[in-house]
Amino acid sequence: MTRPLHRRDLLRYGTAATFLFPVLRSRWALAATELPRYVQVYIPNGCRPSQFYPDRGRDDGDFDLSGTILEPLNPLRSKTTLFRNVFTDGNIHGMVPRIFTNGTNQNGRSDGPSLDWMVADQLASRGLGTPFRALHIGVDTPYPASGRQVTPVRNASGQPQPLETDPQRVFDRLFSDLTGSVDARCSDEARRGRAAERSVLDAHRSEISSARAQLGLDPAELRVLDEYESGVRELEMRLAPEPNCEQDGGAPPEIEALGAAVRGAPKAEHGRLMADLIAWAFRLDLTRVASLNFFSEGGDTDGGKRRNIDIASWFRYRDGDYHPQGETVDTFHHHLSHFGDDSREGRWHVAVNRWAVGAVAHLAAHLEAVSIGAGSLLDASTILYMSSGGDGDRHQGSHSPAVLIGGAHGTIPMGVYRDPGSRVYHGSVLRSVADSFELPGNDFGSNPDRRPIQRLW
Amino acid sequence: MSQRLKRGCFRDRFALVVLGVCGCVGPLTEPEVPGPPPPPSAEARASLVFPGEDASLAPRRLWRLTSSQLEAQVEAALGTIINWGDARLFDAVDEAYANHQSGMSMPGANVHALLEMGDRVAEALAEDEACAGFGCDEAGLEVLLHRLHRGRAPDATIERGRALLQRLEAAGFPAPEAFGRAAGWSLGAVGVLFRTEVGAAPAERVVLTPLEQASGLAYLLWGEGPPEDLIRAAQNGALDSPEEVEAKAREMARDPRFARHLGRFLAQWLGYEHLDGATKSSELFPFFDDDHRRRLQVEIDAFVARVLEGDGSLVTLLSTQEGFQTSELPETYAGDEVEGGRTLTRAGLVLLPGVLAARSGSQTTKSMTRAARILERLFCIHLPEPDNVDLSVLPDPDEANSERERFEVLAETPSCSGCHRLLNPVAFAFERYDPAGRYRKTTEGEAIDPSGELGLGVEPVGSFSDAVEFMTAAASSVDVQACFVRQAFGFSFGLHPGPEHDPWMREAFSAFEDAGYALEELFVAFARSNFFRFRGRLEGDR
Repeated sequence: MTRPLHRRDLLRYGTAATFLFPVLRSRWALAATELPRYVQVYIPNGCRPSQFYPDRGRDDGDFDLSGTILEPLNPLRSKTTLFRNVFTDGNIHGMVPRIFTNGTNQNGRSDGPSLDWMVADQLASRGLGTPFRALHIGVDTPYPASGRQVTPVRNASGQPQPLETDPQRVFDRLFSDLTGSVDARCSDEARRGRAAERSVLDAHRSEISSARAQLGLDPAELRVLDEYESGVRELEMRLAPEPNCEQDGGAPPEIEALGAAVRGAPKAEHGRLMADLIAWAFRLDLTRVASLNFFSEGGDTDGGKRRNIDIASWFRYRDGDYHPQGETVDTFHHHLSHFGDDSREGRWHVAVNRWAVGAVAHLAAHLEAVSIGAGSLLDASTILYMSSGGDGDRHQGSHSPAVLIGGAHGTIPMGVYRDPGSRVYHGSVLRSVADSFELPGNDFGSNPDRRPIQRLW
Repeated sequence: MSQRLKRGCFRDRFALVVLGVCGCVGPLTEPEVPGPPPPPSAEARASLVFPGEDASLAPRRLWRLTSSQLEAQVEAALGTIINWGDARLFDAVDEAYANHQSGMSMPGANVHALLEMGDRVAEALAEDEACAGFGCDEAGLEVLLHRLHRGRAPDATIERGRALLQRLEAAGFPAPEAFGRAAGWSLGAVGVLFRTEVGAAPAERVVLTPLEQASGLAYLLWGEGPPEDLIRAAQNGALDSPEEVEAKAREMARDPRFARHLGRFLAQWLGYEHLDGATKSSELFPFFDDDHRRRLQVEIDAFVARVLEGDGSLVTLLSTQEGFQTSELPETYAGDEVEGGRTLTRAGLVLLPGVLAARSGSQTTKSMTRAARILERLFCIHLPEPDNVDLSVLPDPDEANSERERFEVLAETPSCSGCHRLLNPVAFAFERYDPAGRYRKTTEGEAIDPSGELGLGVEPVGSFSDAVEFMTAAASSVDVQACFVRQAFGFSFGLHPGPEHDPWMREAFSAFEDAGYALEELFVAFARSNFFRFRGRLEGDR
């Protein structure tokens, strides 16, 4: 059984290690730095198939992503596999609870955990836990992302999990005790803030326990309080650890620079910053599982109030891409999906989604640049990008994207653009990724066909 | 058969009498009797639409507040408006209503949101040396906790609040900030976040205590926590008898807070709560901006208020041709026909432009979605989402000149006809209203034929020449009136009405009918029922 390395060990000795990736050996017997990483990516409201998939190169290994929404991945297309005709069943705006889970319910409820939750559980069950179980990231997702249309991350009970939307909070959680000066980390203000957070959560937990005892509730109602208490405990686990107040952190200069970059970073920088945070967390083995979720699926109001919807306040468009001096995109991501390619909103939609893919490509490139033995950290990772459907205007589940980046542990051929010719349900893709992590059998979604996609080869 | 259709067909008895799909229904009298059958008696009508006999009581003691209710409760207790920003609990929307208890839980995501809401409270109080008049000390926190608990906070909760305040002060927070953080924590106290209905002495049928009934009345009729005077009245014995509870309910229904609460229900019922987020193509509808949305909402609110100030009847609400603000919204009503004070091309709330625009698409009407919603909300007919169907029979929108031309084929396609023989007539009737809710007679240069027939239910709408005739007939149909009772019952008690609730709904429907379908009387009838005053005995009752 492999002991998770302490963060300070990694900083002292570096992450270089002889990397062996024997296909025949179970991957859970590998050294900690070699263990596979998993990232699931969600960009909602369909993918605009006409602008997403390359016209040529299907099935012949010679595809080019230039000019498409996936263009930022072009330099890494040899480590990218793209499926053209994956099918998501049901109302696409009801897919969020189901897109990465084994659940079948709509209306905000899922029967079970999302794939990232299952992978993290698998690691923990094998004694391969990391200081942080997983990172659940939201990029320009509204508020703490408590809504059913925002967070595809579901716990074992199928309940939605909050996303971290502030890069600074993520940085502090991961690296606060490794960076900066003792004075900053251990100032009175910092100590007070941490004390307040812990005290409030502690008071919540004892209040729930007391209510349970006092009310003498029916088992069904006790479940409501159990879930409340679990929610509090989950948040307690996410609190930044007590910092080291005896010596300065000694973090590499790149992490110090990242810490400076996240402070007050504008929204336009959040995608790449979050990608770097995930990459560094992987490099230092602080976690091996992450989910990266953009924007918000469907519906633009909640409780009768317009939500502080994604992109409208900050995205600037010029010549097909984000540009800080470009024109304001003054509407919501969902709204953009309901316009044709030759409309202004359609062009904005392409640019916004390309910007999001750019963040994913940035993550992949960062991992690719980290050598591990004969390969790279990207080879040891699987990034899975999916959406709720294909044509978001017509709410069609056909031509939904399934993009795999990284090594997939050699179980899925990479550098391939495949159109299966008939429907492949999104559950088949999840099945294949789950198999690559040796997850026990799970039924994904309500798909009638749950065979892994490997049958296509 | 999908869960939704199974549920719909099981619960909605009149849906079983599907004349348009399944053929004719025989007369209620002997077949040999010539001529049209006599209309059923009022009692028979109520039994037809709510036939279930086994009455059961609500099996709950914990009712989580919606995010809006929690916000209102906190603001009322503090006596100040809080800038909540985006901090908000996730309220599971079940069918239409963001309060169905089956989904009202507190997972990690909601705990996170709750902490954010607590931070907003702390921010609001941090600069206030008087702490909103509570005095920034333990005694003040106790008073606040009692108010938030709608009467009396448990001693253990008060002790916990005091201990938290002491810890925060010991950590070095100045008094207002420490008090603010403790106040923020109190939002998550179980007795604040949840309405608890433990009731009086355990019995097979547990009567709620007067305080619990006061709280229940306030949420039933106003959608917010009970004010101090109502709490005091309950504590002084003014709600000890069913007659007193009814009298109080009647008084509360005349308060402006009832009209606001009813407005929230109507907005969720017909989906126009989404009007604020409705966006339209700027090329096709350049006038549809924030100001326009605001004026549409003003019109809706004024329309409902006008009905309530008149006869307050559901029939009027759904069929009146008066109260449309044709002068205030000239760009919207340019195509309408107005005569005297009546807008001849409109009838009732459903045909208000804001209601129509709220759930239409950015560029298209989304005619079938619109029709499905009307069938669901007005007739309680739940049609399943199309699943795994071959859409190749459907003409491309660019190839068809009208929605009728596009979708008529589906009424004859075997895998689609079951739903589309219901959807199509409704969808085509409403095509005379564009995505912005404007009246039109043509689209793409082609005349719109809004005529059709809907022949299902106990009192079918039958043939109609347009949506105005459709809504006029629907408003007077027992199917729509009963469905409204069912919707209001589900909203009021946060549940899916099932056969076990039929006796309560039948009782309320009879009172509603006797009162000429006055909206206020329906909610008073809910308050009068034993379903409100009692709950069922549960495991764990002491």
